[in-house]
Amino acid sequence: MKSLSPYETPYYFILLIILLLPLILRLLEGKRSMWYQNLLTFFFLILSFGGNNKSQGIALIFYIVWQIALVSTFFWFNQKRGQLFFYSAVLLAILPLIIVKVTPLVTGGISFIGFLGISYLTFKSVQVVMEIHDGVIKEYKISYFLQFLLFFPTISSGPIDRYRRFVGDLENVPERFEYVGLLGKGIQMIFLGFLYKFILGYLLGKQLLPFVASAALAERGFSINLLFYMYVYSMYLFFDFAGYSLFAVGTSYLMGYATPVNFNKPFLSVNIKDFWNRWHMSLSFWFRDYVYMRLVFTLIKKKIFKSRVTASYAGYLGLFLLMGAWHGLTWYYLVYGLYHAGLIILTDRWTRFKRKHQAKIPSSRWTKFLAVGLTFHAVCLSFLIFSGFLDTFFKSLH
Amino acid sequence: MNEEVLTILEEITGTDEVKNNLDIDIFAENLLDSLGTIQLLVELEDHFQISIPVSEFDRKQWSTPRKIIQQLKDSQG
Amino acid sequence: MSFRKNVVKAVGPFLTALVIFAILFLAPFHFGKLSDKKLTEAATSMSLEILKGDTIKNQAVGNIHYLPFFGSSELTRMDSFHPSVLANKYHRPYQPFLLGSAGTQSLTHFLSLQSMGGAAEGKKIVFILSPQWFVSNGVSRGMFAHYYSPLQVYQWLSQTEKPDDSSKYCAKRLLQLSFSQEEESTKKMLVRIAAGEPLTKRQKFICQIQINFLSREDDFFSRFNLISRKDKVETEEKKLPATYDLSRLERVADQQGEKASSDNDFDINNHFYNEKIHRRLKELAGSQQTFDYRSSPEFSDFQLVLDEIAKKKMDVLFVIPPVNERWSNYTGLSAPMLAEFSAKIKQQLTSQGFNNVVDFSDKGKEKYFMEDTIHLGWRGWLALDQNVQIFLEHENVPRYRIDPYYYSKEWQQKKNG
Repeated sequence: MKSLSPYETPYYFILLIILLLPLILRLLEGKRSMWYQNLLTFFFLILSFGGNNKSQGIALIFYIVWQIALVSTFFWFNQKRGQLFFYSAVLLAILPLIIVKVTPLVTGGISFIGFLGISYLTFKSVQVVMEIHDGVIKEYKISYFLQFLLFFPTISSGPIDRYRRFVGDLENVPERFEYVGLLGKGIQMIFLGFLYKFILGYLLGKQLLPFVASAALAERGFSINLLFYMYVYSMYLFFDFAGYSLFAVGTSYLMGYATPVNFNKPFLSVNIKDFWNRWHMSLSFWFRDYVYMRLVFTLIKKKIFKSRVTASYAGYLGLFLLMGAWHGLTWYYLVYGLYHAGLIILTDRWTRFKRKHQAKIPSSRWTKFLAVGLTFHAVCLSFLIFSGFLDTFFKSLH
Repeated sequence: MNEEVLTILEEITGTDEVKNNLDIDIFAENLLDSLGTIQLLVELEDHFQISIPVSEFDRKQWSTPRKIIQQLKDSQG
Repeated sequence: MSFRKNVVKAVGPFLTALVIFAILFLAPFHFGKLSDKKLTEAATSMSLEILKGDTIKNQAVGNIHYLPFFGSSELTRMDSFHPSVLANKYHRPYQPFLLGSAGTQSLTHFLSLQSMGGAAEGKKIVFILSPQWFVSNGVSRGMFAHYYSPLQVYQWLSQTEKPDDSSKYCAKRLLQLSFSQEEESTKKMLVRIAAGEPLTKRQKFICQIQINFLSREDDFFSRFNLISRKDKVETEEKKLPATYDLSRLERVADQQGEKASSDNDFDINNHFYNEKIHRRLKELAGSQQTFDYRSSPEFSDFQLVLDEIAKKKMDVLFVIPPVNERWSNYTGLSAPMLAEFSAKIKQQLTSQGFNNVVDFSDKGKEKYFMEDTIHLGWRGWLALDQNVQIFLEHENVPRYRIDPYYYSKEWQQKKNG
């Protein structure tokens, strides 16, 4: 049997709507049928990780057992253990992902312990470990953690939810009127997702992109076509991924869970900081809360750097390098990370300068327009790096 | 204690608005960014000998000077 | 607002969309005939929608006014002597309907032909084949996938009652060329046909549902605007003398050819030369010495086309274009090999009763016969036009004798026809 990737074919959506119907009808009465939701989760997991994807399914089972054992142990023995215990737990939670990311570099093949969505599950698991350590997750149930990890609408590519938020939704079934609101929004999101992913994303990615790619390569040097490629790819990346995210969030809404949204008009950002508050938000907030904040907090607390501002720059560098490495261990992802770290540091310097010389720097509709345009282009350039097309491009020059 | 918290906030945000208006939303008004937040946590820890973990910092519950003072009282309480 | 009203507000738009969708794609009605203006625009379009669809091309084929031209990239070389331009300028009783584009080869044309159904019965058509199709692996998977029409494949599947040699061969080829986007269920059907078994009832039902849905989709989207080269035709027309006079036209063709290929010694159109050749000129010297068009699965793919033509009792003018000789001398493309190729393909044609064959393979040295390396141009189009006029004047009832031998590996590989 051929497995079915989430949100790829009309067939998947038809199945989804039909199978969600009983759940939706119960929710409209203000009740949630938990056994049915679990059955549904099981069914959709089989659908995506069964058949010819069976090896991935087995990897997923092992991964889940690993994480549950790890997080449960950590929760039960966390009291009064030192930092070492905490750091080892985090490392063990990330270990499978590290193996999956490094294997291709060593063996040239794909690791057998990998599966679609492993990074997103890792983000969730690490988050829980850190919050248990901080003492903010006071109640931990294996069944809740399992529900959280395996919540099928978001399993393959996010958005990355937060444990405490998710459990809130799990324990409190939305009241009827509230649910109707979620239902309407959910349907709207899924249909907007169709427009984004299957119409705009398709036209940009499948029709236009190959065309501009070959045009750019045909020039055998830098040309305006490379610029076109940059724009088309950036737009494609947005519509494809934002479309996917809308499906995931919309489906969550239909099930009565308010999974956080991932995009908020990112191309209208006025600067890079603003951009990261609007682009792939669940990921950037995760990196902000679990990498940057903690890293800079430690750096400042231990007074590693004289200046706190320098400490924050080190934090940005750590954050974006890690994000780049997470995308994959290739030169262009790492350069992508470095480039964004550079941009955000530059932005920070500029805002500090601006604050000091506020009186002298003009501010109007036009400067805002300029800021949006500049940010847009800086971001598109980063996506050109990210796309890996430059790799092909440079190789074609030789 | 109130006075001390407000002084810390004023230093970090660089404006006395936080003293004049205890209900100003420091995130919505862009007075506190991520670095500012961390600085606030560090300063509060140093001044009051309490430990506030980073994940405790829910932006909604710490969004105004009044809420911050309340949170501190709760965690000391 | 009441709870009920809220629910209606939430799911109402979705249900409305569902109903509209069902009416548009499932209800049994057609949108009616396309306008003449639309068909005229479509005749020079060569867009993917037309090639992959049924609505536009079948209506054109069923219309006596249109003369279908099957071919590949040469059809897009629109100079003043292109068939579409000449027909329009000199008010011919027919208008060429161009079916083909870069990369359309026998298998794609076969699927397109069979999807025409009764509309193509007894129709006259012009078929330009290219020696370059007959490379050792035949059509490339990527190109085939680009022009792959699920609708036309389902139509073919549903009409294959008892698989014969040709359908078994076709199913095997489709499986060989299959790509990931194809439906799993389609592959299963192909496997059955390749094994000589008819489709199951359930499979036939799936085909019918898909055809219904896809043809409705095709019907619907055929109403929208498409790319047309009408403007291009009109500009090119202006460069021609007002009345048809062969010797004058030949002079104009020479003048245009000379002017357009001034940048190089190969008589290749400047634009093409600068874009595709200039920078790689050194690499290309002697680069085609090993090219061989004599053994290829394309010969059997082409047999599918012939089979379909025979079934539909169509009257066809086949055209074998040459290769620009100045260019083939430079790249080392073997002239004897080309001659053997055209002998082999002619044997396949004439032995089965396809006698209208225009073999231009010895015209490669004629100046301005080719627009560039392998595509007909000025003089070449003009020569084709002469042959088309003769072809159209003669009423003949073709008698074809289809020989399944041409589906064999032996024939595909055989080098001396």
